[in-house]
Amino acid sequence: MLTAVSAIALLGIGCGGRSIEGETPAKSLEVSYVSGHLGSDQGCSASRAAGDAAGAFAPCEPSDTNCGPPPSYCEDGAVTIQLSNVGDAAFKQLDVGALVLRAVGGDDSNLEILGVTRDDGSKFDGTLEPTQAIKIRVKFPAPAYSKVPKGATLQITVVTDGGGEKQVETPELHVMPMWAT
Amino acid sequence: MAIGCGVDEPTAERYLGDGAFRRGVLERSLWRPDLPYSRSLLASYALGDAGWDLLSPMTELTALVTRADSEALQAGRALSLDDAEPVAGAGSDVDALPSDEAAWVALGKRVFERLPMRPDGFLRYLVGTPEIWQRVGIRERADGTLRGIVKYRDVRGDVRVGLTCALCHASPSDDAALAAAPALQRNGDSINGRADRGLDLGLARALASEASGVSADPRLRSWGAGRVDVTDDGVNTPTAVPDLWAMPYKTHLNHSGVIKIVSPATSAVRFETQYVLGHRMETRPRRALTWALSRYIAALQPPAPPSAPSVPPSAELARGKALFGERCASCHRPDRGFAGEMVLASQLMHDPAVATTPERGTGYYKVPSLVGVRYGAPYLHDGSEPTLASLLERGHPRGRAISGDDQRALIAYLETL
Repeated sequence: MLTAVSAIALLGIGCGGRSIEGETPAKSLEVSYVSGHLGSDQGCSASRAAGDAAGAFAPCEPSDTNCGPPPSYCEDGAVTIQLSNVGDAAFKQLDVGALVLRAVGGDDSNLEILGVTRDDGSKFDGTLEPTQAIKIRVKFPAPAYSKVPKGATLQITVVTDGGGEKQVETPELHVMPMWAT
Repeated sequence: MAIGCGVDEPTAERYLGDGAFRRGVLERSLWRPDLPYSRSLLASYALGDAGWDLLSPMTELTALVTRADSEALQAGRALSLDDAEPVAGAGSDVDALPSDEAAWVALGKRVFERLPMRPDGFLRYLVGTPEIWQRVGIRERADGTLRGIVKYRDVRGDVRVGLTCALCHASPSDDAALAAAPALQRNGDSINGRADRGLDLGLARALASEASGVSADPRLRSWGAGRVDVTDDGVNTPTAVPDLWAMPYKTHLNHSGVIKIVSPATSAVRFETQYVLGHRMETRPRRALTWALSRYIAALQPPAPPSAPSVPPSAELARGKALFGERCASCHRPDRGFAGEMVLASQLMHDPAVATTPERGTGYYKVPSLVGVRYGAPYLHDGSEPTLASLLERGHPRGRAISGDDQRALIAYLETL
């Protein structure tokens, strides 16, 4: 898995999350933004530490809202994207190469990729047949609450067979609300 | 699509099948698009070829949690979904739509009672710890179920415990009130639409945290029963859980009115986005269910007013009605179900904090309908006034108190609404 964003020639950044083609376009792959949030780091360290002393409750993992009684709130960030193969050949080695948190008027920062799965939680094996469309979910550590820039977006780079790249930029993402009503 | 939805067929069809219509409703209803709450919805809802429209649909099997489930959790066993059935009912066809308004409302009742609007870890703790049920206001019903708490399989395949509308917006009621309630609102020992003011979700969360050895945020214990802060903005602004009746008279949703009701579909869009956010943006609801829920909420009514001979003498009622016309009706307009337009929070004597929160603060408070106000204590957005008498003594809305015979007459009139 790549850890840095390749140099790209941006042809346009879509507020609605449309695809951005790079210098090595993978023309038969379409990438669409589906959903995403920046998670919540409030209480993460406390919950992880408390998990050891939680009696009947196993240590909690981020994002596991059913794991014991969570304290305030601890959840990884997650972004879901749709991959569509509009070509005639199958992809065999698709992967998510980079996640970049972008701030309006601020610095970009690379985020660690914690995992990539299908949206139903099953393993993503990197293949995509012609005409097939699947959704994948990418997890990353929640940025520190106090450091989440206003108007933050996420740029996701999908790496195709042979090293081609396709990118999508999300609209503004927010910290995951605890109550969400 | 022929759905035969009675009073509102065109809107139902468009809500169910027209993404551009849904998008338009959202955009028109979020009259403060600059607020973070608005921006988060506008960024992803009803975009067609991107955003939440692409989410995988929800799983539909749910079951009310029972004492047996509590015992399973206490014993460390997994929850069973053997007794689960579709939200729409056992044997229902998820592709079939109700044929008339009554059928939509009936489906909406199922949704209200059984659709998990969100999972919550503290609920799992709560279910598995029956010794705290009484303390936080959870009651086991005669059939062993817990109102408003369900188990279901989420989109990842995990069995979760979730809450439905009926956890907060249904309340245990005495036999007289139950008898006076419309049949479609009876839910075992509770009345749907009436806020449960004995339920202390802040305390439940605090106890759950402390059970895991983590100090709870002290603000959670400060909320008290029937109040909760849902704004997630770091500002402690608990508000009273509202009764849900009088929806046809409302002009806005949320205490600060961040959502303007621009269409019968506004509340359906609201429930849909609420569901998506509650499920961490990993799944979306079937829209027939959110439309049905909106029709059910629109149909909710308060239990009937007390009948003679408990009704006060007519002279007192007449005096109260006249006082209402002089002192109250410019905001709580009788021709609009005793609701009205928004009012600037800064012009009221009440705490403006909820109207100015970072996430949803518009600077205004909505003027709620007074239909069923006799059941609405404690009063005001924050539940700070225990009775109508205390509210009037304090001088709602701008400091001019109403006392003595005038107060008694006005309250007598209000209790007939």
